[in-house]
Amino acid sequence: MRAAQLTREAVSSGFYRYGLFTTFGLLVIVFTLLNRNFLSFPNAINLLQQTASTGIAAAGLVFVLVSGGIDISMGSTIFLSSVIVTTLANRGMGLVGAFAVALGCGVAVGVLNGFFVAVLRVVPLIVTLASLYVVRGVALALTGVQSLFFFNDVGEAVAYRRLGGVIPVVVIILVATLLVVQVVLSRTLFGRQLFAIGNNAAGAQVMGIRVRRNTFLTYVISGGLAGLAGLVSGAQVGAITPTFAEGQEFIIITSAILGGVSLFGGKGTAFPGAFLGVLIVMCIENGLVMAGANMYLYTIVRGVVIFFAVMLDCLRNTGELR
Amino acid sequence: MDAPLLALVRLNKSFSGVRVLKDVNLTVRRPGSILGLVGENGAGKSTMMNILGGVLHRDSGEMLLEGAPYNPRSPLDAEKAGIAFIHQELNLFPNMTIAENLFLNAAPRSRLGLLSYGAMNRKAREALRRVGIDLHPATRVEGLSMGLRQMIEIAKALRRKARLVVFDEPTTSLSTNEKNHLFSIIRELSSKGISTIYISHTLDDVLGLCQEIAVIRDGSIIGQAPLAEMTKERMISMMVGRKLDQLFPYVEKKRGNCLLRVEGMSRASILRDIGFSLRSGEIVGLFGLMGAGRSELARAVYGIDPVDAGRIYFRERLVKRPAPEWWIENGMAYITENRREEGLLMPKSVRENLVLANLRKMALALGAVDTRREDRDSDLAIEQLRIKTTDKARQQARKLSGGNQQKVVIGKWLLTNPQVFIVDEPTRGVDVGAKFEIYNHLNALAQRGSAILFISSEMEELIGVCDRILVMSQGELTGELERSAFSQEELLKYALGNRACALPS
Repeated sequence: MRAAQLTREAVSSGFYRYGLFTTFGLLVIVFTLLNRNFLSFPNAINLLQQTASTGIAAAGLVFVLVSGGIDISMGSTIFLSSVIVTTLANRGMGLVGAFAVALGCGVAVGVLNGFFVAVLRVVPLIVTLASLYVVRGVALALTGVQSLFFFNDVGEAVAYRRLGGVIPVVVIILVATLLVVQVVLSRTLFGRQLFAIGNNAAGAQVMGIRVRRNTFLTYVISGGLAGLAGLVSGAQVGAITPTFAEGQEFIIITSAILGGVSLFGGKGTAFPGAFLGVLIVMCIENGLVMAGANMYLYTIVRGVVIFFAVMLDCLRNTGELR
Repeated sequence: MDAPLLALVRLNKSFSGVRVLKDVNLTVRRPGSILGLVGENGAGKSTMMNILGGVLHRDSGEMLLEGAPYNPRSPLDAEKAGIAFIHQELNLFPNMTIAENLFLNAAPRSRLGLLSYGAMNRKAREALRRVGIDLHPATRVEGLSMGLRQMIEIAKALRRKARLVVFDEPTTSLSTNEKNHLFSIIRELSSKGISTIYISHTLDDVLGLCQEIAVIRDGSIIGQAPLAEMTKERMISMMVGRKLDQLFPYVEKKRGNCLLRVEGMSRASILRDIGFSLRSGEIVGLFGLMGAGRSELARAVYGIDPVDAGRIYFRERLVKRPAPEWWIENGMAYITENRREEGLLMPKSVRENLVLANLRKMALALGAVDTRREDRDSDLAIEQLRIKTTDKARQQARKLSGGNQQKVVIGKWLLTNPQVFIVDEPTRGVDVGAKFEIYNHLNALAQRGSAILFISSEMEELIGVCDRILVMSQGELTGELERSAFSQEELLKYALGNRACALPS
């Protein structure tokens, strides 16, 4: 019986691991058939550029999800960060400053979230739902509900400059973030302990793991990376409208879950997991654009993708792993 | 004389005004000694161990570790002092590998400060070997048997240089082989100077393993004595506070009509052509070794698992589609083996849990619940089963000790006065006193005309309380014995697969 169980586990985990790659491969084939340009170097780079912001944010979210929490305030944090960075950059702030400020305002939101979740022990969904509104409100107040335009050297450097004329800066930021995040998750004590917390927080506490501190840190990290994502997407879009990044949190969460990061905690990777999720979601959107789909189809497809991501996650989590 | 390894001196602890520990003294004399700790559910064993482990803090008293004051403020302090706990619910993370579980707090690092999986797995393999298991350290804990998990817990404790390992009811979910392996490991630890405090309700195990035994009752240590001075009877009378002249009460009952009859029940490779009947006023035992299909039979009858063939008659009427809802409606209750998971609403109050199965009968006009009856019935169950609760209306089920949680589940079904009652290992993990209560309740229920199917792997209790015993082996009914023919040899013979020459119908 044990052997059977082990095989079943191997099969299912194998399915989910390779299922993701298969899905991605199938999508590439389908869209290539629809439009020959899909599978070309420029479009691949284009796709990576498009995934950069969501990918960075999703990597941050993995920390929170793995430890059993959730952060739905990321869209607002992205908005806040892009607003502040744009304003300051338009007044002459340099590139280094822009990164520091972006990370800084994200971390600030994360500290607040973390404080309420880890110290005051309020349910993460409620805490981050509140900050979703509050943070967007604060950012709107800063802009006076006007659009901002990110047309300066910083925006130019982040969004368009290419290293060696080939690889865009944003892609480098994305890859670097994913690598660091994955190493922290799988190769540090902090990272491994998050998996324990996400599986059984009470048990982790008994084991002498500092559950509150670690939980707090996950929100700080997700906030910080959302801030970084704000700089990237703000620079790319150029125009920061009052609805900028609205609903982005759900795309981030969907991508992560689709990439095998469990909504129930204790399971997942940033790379390849969450990143593949982002790629799949972006591929669908990118593909829909190239196939010339109607606007309403986007929302429907997004809804269906969210549904499947969560359904898969629930199916994966029927056993003890929950 | 050297200072003892561990001494608890006049320890006191109260919870919201209720004294749970009263001047408790306990001594682990020397490195390597195995001390048994027995006591009824809620006697204070867990509280005591939680104080020792730094989870709770004492109100007064002293703890000395090799003569030096020991004041753990957190589980981490206890760990640093070399005290490890192996709880009934193991503290392993099934989503992680064995090696990761072993090195969750202090893993080997590479020069860059990153975890080194190579070194981790190598050390983990070594640690696993010390407890005699040969598994790849990169195996996920999910899917491993309870016995293996326990060994991993022990490996974890050893890796942290534990001097004293506390086992809390470690054998409840182990097979006989796994249990023997555990005991040999504990003895080996003892020979290496690592002490054990062994908490269990299985008195025979305590007598077979421990060198010294302490008995706790109502928050006080009644006595601590070397093995030579202890007997089962003495332990029981110390635990219960009175002499139990009879461990297994048997009463004469009037056998009546057939309430449940099962014919030709089969399920591929699990149940083969099973037929039996339960009559009113009968307690029928169902015995078999692990994996004989006892619980599977009960689940099939109750309609939880599908069957390939078979007919069930309830009061001589064919039950077309057996299902739990139907059975509950018509007066059959079934307490499953893992009743704690399946049978309790953990965050709800004791009272709410007790009346849950019976709510329908407590309905007044317009569906309102008769709160006075709710109160009365839950009081009755608490009193009859001696459930230890501080406040039945407010205390959450999860805050009860393990044994008391089980009593709540049993009490819940007893309140429904079931006509047919299937109980699967109802006394496992329950103390002697409570066992006695449970037998009495089953007897009383049978005397009132119910039929009871009593599934158990303890031959003694079946022989003690049943009117008839069915024996299963490998999915087949291999024997049926009337009370006059009960003997352990016969039961075992059938359980090992020898068929009775002629099955009485």
